[in-house]
Amino acid sequence: MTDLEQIWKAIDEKFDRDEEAEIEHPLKLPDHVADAAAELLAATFSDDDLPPDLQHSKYVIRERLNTGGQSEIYLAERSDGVYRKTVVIKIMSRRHELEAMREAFMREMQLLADLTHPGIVQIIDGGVSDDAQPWLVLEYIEGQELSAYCKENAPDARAIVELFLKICEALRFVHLQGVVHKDLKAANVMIRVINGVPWPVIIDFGIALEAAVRKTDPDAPVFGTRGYSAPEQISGEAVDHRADIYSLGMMLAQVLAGDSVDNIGLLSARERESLLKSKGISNDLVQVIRNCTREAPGSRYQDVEALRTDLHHWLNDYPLAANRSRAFHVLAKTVRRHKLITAASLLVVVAAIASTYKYTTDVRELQQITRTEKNAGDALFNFMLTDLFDDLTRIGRVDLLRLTAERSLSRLNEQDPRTFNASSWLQSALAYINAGKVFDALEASKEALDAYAKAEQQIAQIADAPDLRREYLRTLASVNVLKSLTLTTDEQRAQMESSLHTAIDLSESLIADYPDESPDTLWEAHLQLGWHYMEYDEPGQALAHLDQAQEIAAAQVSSHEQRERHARWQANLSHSLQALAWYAFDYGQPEDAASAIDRAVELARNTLVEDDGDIEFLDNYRILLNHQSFISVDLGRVRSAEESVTEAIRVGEQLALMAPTNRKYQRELSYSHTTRGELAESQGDLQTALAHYQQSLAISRSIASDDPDGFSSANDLAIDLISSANVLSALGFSEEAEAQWAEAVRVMRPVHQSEPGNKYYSFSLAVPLIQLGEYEEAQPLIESIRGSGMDDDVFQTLLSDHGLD
Amino acid sequence: MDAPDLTELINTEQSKLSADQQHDVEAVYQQLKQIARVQRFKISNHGLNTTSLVNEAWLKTHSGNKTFNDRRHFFAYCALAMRHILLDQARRNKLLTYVDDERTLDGQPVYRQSDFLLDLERQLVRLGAYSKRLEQIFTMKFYGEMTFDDIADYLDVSRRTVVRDWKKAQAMLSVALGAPDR
Repeated sequence: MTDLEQIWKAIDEKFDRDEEAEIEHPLKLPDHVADAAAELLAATFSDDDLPPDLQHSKYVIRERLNTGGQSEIYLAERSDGVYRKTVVIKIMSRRHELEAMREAFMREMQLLADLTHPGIVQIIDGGVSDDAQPWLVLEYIEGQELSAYCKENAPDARAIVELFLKICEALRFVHLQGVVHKDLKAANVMIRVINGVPWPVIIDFGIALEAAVRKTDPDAPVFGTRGYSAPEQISGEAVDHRADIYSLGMMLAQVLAGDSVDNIGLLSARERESLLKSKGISNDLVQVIRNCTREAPGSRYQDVEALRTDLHHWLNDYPLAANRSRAFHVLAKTVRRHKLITAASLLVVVAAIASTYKYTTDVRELQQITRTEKNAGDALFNFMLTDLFDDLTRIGRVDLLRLTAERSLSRLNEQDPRTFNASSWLQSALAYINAGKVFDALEASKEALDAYAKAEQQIAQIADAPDLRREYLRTLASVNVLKSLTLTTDEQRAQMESSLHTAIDLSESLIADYPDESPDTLWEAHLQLGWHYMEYDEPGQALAHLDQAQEIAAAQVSSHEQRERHARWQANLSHSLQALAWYAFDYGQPEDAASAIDRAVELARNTLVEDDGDIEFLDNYRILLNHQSFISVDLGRVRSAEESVTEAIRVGEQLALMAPTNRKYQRELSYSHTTRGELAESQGDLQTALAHYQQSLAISRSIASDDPDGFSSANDLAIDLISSANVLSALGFSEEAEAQWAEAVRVMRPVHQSEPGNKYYSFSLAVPLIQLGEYEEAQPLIESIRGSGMDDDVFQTLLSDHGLD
Repeated sequence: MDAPDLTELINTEQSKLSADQQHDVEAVYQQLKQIARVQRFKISNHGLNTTSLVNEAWLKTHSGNKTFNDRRHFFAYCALAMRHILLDQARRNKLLTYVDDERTLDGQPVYRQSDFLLDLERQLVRLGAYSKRLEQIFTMKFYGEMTFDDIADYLDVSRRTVVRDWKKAQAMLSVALGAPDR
């Protein structure tokens, strides 16, 4: 019992004994309120005419707002004599020692007052009264609380996420100032609608203020809101900005769940997620919430920026960054480990990613794509278009990347260059290059060239960036080589040459400035120029560049000890020798051609030993074997040609198992079979010849059925049908032979009609027509074949057999 | 509304009232204010006569009112309402002395009276904890200016008890207000 209560008890008893008792030293209390507080009474019941006393105040209290919390909140008008402004006056709970508190409160209040942001309520004034009463004057936000707004307007998940992006923006600003809100919940976010657009405003930094003050009073209880406050805050541990991320995640869950639950934060994570999913909330968004509301702060999004990025990604249907790093890390690692095995399973992933991509043209949103998001997005695309490109090239399914490349481009086109720094430009250039490579692989030359031109524009932006000089030279050189690979028509000849010369110049200065730079691009440019000059019949020029390419590759082979690079340069050297072999074949001694191709095959075989199972090296080896057998046939070395082609078939079958869908590999294998068949036929071994022709035919059939509009696929099929039919006929199977000739005619007629000037197609149609005795239809074709270089001995023999010469 | 409930009301949230009662609270507040404004013109500068205020309010509320079944009941409620209204106003005024850097406000009568009512309220709540009846009687007499007879009728006690308790309450509050206890 307090002293006062003891006194009261004494008074009580005294009056009970004596009704007329007098109290020692009583204070006189007025009998009526009208006596005690006449002025106040008058003021209370006055209308809006302020009594003279109150006119001294610059505030007029309008009404007391309903408050569930520990503080009193009033709506007031502030007038400085010039203009009136509605404000909110908030009297905070009082439970601290005055002096200790005042300093901390004022310091924190100053910090909050400095947070000038449209998404944060503005503190206008504040202080601590003489009797330790903290108070604040705040900007009045005209609008609804977030939950009331959502109830009334029923925004869909996208609109809600857009609101949360704005909240993130404001909260990021708060965190940057080192302030943690500590009491984020739907009730502490107001929605101010401006021109029909809702703008969230974070209000009530009361707990943040409390927390600052509480440091002076370590035993004070910890406040927050059950369900919304992070576990570490509830348990009274130190909190940082990640506690706000927890609350924000919970708030997002609550708003998405709507009225179906009072406080979603009180549910278990499992209940929460199944509730959200039952409301039709997408898995990715549930994942975002999960990443916000993990128990351990270290497992959550580490800052608002990361959360904002993922919300943004969700809005644009990109994969989430939080998942991406892990999933793609694992994928990339697996690919590196088991290049072949995973390539096929990767297809599933790529297809899944590609099909979920969707783009928005919302310009306003795109302007908000920050540099971070851009780089993260570009990095993802670059991953898909480089690592996956390489792997898909190996198995011949680059077509899967077309959609990705197109989307990468449209994404790049939508980026706001005003936000770019030097590395952003570089990143964009690489993205354009990658997309270009995909288009080139898919024979979409125009798209590829457009992409390369864009890449050059991006690179030009960093021409003067001193710390990116190396990347500038390297990227520009490589884009020039890539361009040249796409420039294949006669009209583009000059352009192609100049690209390659530019690439050589750039690469040379690159290597001069940075001697440790690998000469890949320089080597490739020389090799390509060599092929180019051979194609345009300039042997002198061709040889000069081919020699350069060979020298570079040979030097690299002898200088590289590391296995992978060593194998790569051996492969490059084999490419150089292959080109030199064809040079010798066309312009020099066939013997030299044979020795060059033999060395190339030898090197290619070495690469297989050094990098066991690399499909690209295996394919290179097989192609060289095919070429070796071709050159051997030309030199009349039948035995050696047979050995080469038999090995080529063995390797080809191995490749077919590894990459069953790679059409290029199939064609090459079919070519080996045809060569092997021809060798057998020339030696009179018709059974062996027929077997190989039919193997080749089976492959051609399958390619043609996959590519029904491809003229060259049709032509390959027709040639195989003719070869097979010729042998069948010689073996006496005339019915089967006629059926195949007839099929060849059916295949070639439409092709010939589409391209009547093509001598190969005319040939492939003429031969079966002659064999079938359709001389009338064959006659004009025979005329066009004569003098075209196609009328070889075999054709002449055919004509004379049929009496047509 | 029964007599004991009234005292409870002073310290409880308004949301605990029934819908009808809440409606009446609003009505009484508004009526008191309106009547007071008219009376202010009549009574010039001598403050308000709350008795005539409440009487007039009763006359206007009487017809058709269902929750207040007699006059004394209504007066008792008005006393509480008056206590609320004045307390609310006092709080606001006090608030102004916080947020207004012009310290000159402190010396003005309205603010002094506000301080007094706020102090009184604090002690009255303590008195209620000590004895509900003392708090009730003080409220009815001081804020409602009810007669001893009406209070006695309303609480169903003797007039003598009411007079004695009024003296007790005054004495106790006087001591409390004079004794710094914070």
